[in-house]
Amino acid sequence: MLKVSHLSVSYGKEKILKDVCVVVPTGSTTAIVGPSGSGKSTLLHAICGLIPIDAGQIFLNDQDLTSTPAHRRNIGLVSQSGDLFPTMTVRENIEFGLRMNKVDASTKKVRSDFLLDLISLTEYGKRMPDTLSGGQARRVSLARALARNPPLLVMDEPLTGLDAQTHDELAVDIKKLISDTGTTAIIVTHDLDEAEFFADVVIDIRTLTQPT
Amino acid sequence: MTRTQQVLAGAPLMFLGVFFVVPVVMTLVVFTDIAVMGETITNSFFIKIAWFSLWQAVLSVVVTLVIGLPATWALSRVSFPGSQILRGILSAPFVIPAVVVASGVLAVLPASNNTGLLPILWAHAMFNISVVLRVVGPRWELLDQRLERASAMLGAHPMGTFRYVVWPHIKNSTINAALLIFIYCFTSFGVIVIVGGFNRRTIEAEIFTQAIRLGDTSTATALAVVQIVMIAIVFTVVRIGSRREIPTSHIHRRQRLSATTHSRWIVGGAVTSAVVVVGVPMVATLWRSIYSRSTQSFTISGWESLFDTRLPTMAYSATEVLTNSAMFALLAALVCVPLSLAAVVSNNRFLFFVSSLPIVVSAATLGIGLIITFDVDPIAWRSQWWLLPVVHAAIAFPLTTRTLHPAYIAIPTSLRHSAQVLGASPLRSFVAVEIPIMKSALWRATGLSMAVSLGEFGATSFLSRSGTTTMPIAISQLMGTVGQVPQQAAFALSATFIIVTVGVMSRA
Repeated sequence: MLKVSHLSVSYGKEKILKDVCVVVPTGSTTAIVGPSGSGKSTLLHAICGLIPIDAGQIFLNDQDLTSTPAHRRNIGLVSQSGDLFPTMTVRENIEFGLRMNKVDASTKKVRSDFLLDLISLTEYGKRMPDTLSGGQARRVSLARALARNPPLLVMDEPLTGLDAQTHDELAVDIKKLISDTGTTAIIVTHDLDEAEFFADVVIDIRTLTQPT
Repeated sequence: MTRTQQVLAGAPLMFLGVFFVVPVVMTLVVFTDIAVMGETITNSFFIKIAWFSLWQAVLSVVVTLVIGLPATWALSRVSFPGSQILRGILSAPFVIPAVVVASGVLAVLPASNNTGLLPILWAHAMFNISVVLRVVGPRWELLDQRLERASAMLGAHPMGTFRYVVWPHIKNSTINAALLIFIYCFTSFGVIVIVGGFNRRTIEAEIFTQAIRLGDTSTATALAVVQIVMIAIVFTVVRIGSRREIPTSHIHRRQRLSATTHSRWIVGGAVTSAVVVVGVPMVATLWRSIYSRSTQSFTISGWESLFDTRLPTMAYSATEVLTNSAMFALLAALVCVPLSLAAVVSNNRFLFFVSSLPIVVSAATLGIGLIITFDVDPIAWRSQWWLLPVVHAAIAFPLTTRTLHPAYIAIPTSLRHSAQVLGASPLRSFVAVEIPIMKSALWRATGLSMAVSLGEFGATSFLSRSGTTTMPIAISQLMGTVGQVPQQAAFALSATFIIVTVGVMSRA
């Protein structure tokens, strides 16, 4: 279970989040919706430990992560653009988190084979990211985020910028992947239909945050 | 600024402080004598030198831009067969030592007319066309050609399109290039030594004469102060006039050459004039390395002397000189590139300011400072061989930092975030993700640092000792020696450098 308690974040003098509280039950998917600039991505970045917070606490499965650096939180992140490392192959991207955890080569290979199969890109392991389509890059990003079996997966507008067909296909695939892996997930989107498709619970960020 | 960034800023700050700032400040503090300063700035001989330094630099900028801008347009906006090789030829002088460039010009012109203003302007233009190509070219490539088409569709003549659409886009980079060229030409030393003759001297060359040949360090320092003040005035005036940045419109590929005969002539003319200015002295150097003007016959004595145990009339061999130059270049890069990388990552504004100083403070001023600073125990390092590559690294620092900075800031923050959430500490993220992305910029910075070291002449002239002679020093000494054989050897040494450089640059 993820528990965000009285979280406040500001950029300079501008208060982006104030006294935000959210609870995401284990194994569930929660969608956070809201217009652009309402602080959705800021909330995700704060949960991941990528930005400093002014106040509040973040617990994951009863463990206080508030002062844990991002690289020790083991949270999977899928960002808007996929953010694949351009100098690494698809397989190297997927194995990156395992490499950072000093996982041995054979285990890495087994895990990346499994994930490549899961995202239906078995033949793409040696390809470079710039040779992938937008939908394929998002799939790889998702596989990379899941490689370390994170207890929490956060996705920041994972379907933005895709054509209609790819969007619909990927939405189905993501939902299936989350369901198959049983991962607790948060998805941020500005599209209410998308939110309702993915999530057990839909929360409007404006009901959580009170910018001053 | 984080603690890590503070630590990272510390190393380059200390390096530049010890090997650049302290020597320059020492020069100014120890030798600034108000009486001598007064005498110097009112002395008609020195006023003439300062005036010449100024107007020849302005004229060099104008000549370089007149030849360099059309060629830059052609190579940045039009794709045509052979453009890559031509780009290599025009870029090569940037990494060729100034004395080699000057000896190329010397090789072209008849002996009766190979010193004075024309050879100086030619050598400056030859060297600096590559600066225009490097600074203005990338900006010109980014201009969205749809804007030019829109201008034409609205009835603008090509000159009108250039004035209202193109020029605002390239104005700042052109001014930056002009400023850089001005500083290079105003502080010109290697070129002046070779083709300046008796009457044409810059302040930089006179600083060397006063400090080393006449031993009058106070006058040399007064001249150094005059030089710094004049550069600072020009720098400030130009900067005030070029503050506004025009947003960039990106294009993905260069415009294809139009099929009309008319436009082919324009592109051909623009590139040919620049290639003639740059290429003819290079070819002439190769020619003069095998042809003696005095005997009017072919000879390989210059090339043979490169394999002798001693270069003609010198106490060192070509192998020794080439080994020194290569080793110093490698060591300079090993010092300079990691420190530049640390400076870029530290994102420290003060450090960026300090790192600009080697551009505006001349190498001769630094040379005097190094001699007096590192002359007392426990830092009596002026005779140590390793001081040369270290000083070369300090001089190359502004260029390498400016090469790495755009590459570093172009890395999206989201990639660093992705690496971190995948378990990479900031250091591991830097090593595993950011360094590979910056690989080509790191290679470019390494190449630049090595090129600066290979060509550095000003500060090296002050520090060079027996056993640490570099190629530019050797070429200068051979050129300055009477007789056919030393001159042939100088041209052969220059030709070796040109062949290697053009080969490398046309593949780069």
